[in-house]
Amino acid sequence: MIKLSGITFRYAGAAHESESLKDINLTVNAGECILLTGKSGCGKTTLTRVLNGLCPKFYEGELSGEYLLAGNDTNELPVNEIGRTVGSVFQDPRSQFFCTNTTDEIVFSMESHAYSQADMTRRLESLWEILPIQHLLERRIFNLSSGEKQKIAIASVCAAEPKVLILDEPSANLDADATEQLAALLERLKRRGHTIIISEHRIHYLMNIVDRMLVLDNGRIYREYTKEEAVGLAENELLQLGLRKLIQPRFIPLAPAKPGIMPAAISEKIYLQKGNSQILQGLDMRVFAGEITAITGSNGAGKTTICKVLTGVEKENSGTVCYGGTILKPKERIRNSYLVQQDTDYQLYAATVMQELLIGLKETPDIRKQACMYLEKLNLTEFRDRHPASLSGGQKQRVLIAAALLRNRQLIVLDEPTSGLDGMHMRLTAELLSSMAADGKTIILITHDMELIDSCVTRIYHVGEGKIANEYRIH
Amino acid sequence: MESYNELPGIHSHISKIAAQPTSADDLHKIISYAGIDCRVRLFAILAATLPSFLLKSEITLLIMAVFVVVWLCVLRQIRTAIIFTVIYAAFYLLQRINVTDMAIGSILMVLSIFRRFMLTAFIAMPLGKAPTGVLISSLSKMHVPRQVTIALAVMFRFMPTVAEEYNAIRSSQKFRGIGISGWGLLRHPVRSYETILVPLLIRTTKIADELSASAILRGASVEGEVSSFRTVRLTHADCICLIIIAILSAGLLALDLLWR
Repeated sequence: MIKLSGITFRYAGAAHESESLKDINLTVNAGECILLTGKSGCGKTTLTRVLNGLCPKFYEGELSGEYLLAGNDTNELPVNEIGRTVGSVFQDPRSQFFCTNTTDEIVFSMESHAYSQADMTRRLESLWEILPIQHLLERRIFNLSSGEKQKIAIASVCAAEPKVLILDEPSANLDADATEQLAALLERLKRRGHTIIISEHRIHYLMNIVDRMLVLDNGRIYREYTKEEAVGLAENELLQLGLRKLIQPRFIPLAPAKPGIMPAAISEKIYLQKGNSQILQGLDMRVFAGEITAITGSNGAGKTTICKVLTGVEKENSGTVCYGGTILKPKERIRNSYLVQQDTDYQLYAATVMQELLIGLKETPDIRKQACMYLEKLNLTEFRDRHPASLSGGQKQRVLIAAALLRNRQLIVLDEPTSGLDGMHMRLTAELLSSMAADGKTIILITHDMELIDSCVTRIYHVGEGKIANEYRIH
Repeated sequence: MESYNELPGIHSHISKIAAQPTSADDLHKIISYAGIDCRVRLFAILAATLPSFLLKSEITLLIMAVFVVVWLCVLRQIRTAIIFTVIYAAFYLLQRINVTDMAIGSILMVLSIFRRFMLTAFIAMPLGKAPTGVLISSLSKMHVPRQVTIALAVMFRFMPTVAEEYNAIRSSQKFRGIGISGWGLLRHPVRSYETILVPLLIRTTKIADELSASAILRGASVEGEVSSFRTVRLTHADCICLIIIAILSAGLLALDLLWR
């Protein structure tokens, strides 16, 4: 189905000798399922872009080598022709929606290729057999949960029935249930005869589906494993490859016990209504200094809202929030906490990393000295004069954490800090958070990342129906 | 019966959960789309442009404002109609105030120009609210070039996104103690430009990039005929609507000349 020989790609504007892909040779048979993995920046996203034709036809650059798709040389195919054979689901479903309404989104590619109404209906009805999402039709895309967006994104690609399906980190924003549903869906697609290529960090949920696992490193295919070999990889081998674990930790419910120490922050009987829906319904929560508390729960359960109320970005309708024993108004909470949101791009405003830390503060020599200290502590010293936008995702996140530490905020909340991070970077983040907690900070994580929870979290709250439904511990 | 609920906001979102299509019959309901055709909506914009600039008398301008409200109500955009009425009335009343101060006077001048723009802008709203597929296919039936159609569709798709991103930026800035108040925005325009516009541009450029990549792969750049899942055709009702709009537009201009 796919044959790559000697594929090398360098993005336009990238320095010489800094190819994103080097001499990739790969044959994928029809009906096969291939998993691409490796550290962040290893070239797996670029490889998916070569496969769907975006490199070099959309993202310009120098491509050498040969790419045969179903026997045709892709150099001679326009990018939309490649797109008809190779359907692509991108990392962030939010930004790939072209239409404002789910129905239009699903039929968009069929409309573009002038399918008849009868044809579209027939294909939709056959799509329901593997992906029953009739209940999501005729909705505005902006109001969907992450899991629902992911389903619409996959449906919009599968409706036109492409032979090959490429997915770039499809589980990045999904909770445990939605990830399981995704795995089941991929299995159905495979059984239907689709060739599937998945680029992913979280590999545990895919082990029943994949036929081969390729580990990329520095633009090359570094290792190739059959399914049996991949499943048999020992923990230290995975660690060495910078990969995540194959088995997820399990959680068991914990009988809630009242700890003797004073909580750093308490929220009591918080209610919050948005439009017609009651988001928070009597939330009671206690977090403690020197601890890392994880908030888990399904997509759309209200985890982010809880943290926005706790940090004061959103106002509660009723209830109270105390920091260290005093009831604070939302505005006062904002000044005593820091919320690091998932998307770092809109949280960075200055021209250099140094200014980024100091923005909004009165500049004194003392503050500057402290800023330098935190840069050192978070391994950012070498980037102090770089533009924040030019940093990698993990580095941007550290800049935000440094800004929070410099402001001496007691409560630091992070929303999905490790979505899209490879095993190595996930472990680095866990270490950093642990050291912050050891310094006495109160840390809250909103996360689906079981491995992160396993490696640093001390307390787990599970959110359901607008309040803390359960407390768990790791089994 | 209009199958596509055009009321924006959470209310329609909630009500839709109860009335979700589940069977083949419901697919049929979506197919037999019965909103006012996009070509009529487009014509309404063209027909509104001329009077909104040429009308001289306050009475004809007010009559036109009433037409705008009626148009929005006919298209079941009650919320938009209310918003329009409130803003327009507020501006109108502001201008009734007698002022001697030059500075305030010049601000009021700008308001009166803005009030004219509002007329056309709100008549244009229903075009953006049409299902994207219907919009693309009706424009392609008029032989509008593909580039223009896609650009227009992306523009309507992008407006809510920009608003979303703007709010996210503003809320995250609060933690750094910058740009908290609207007054601060006005007092430090350069800093506001840097701290809001730059991240907004970085974000929207990234989204636009991915959006176009995914659209191109799904055939957005294919020249030639497109089809529409929802039925797109000019009905008798559409034609009558078209004629009424033409008459109203011409009538306004004539009345204005008469009363001048």
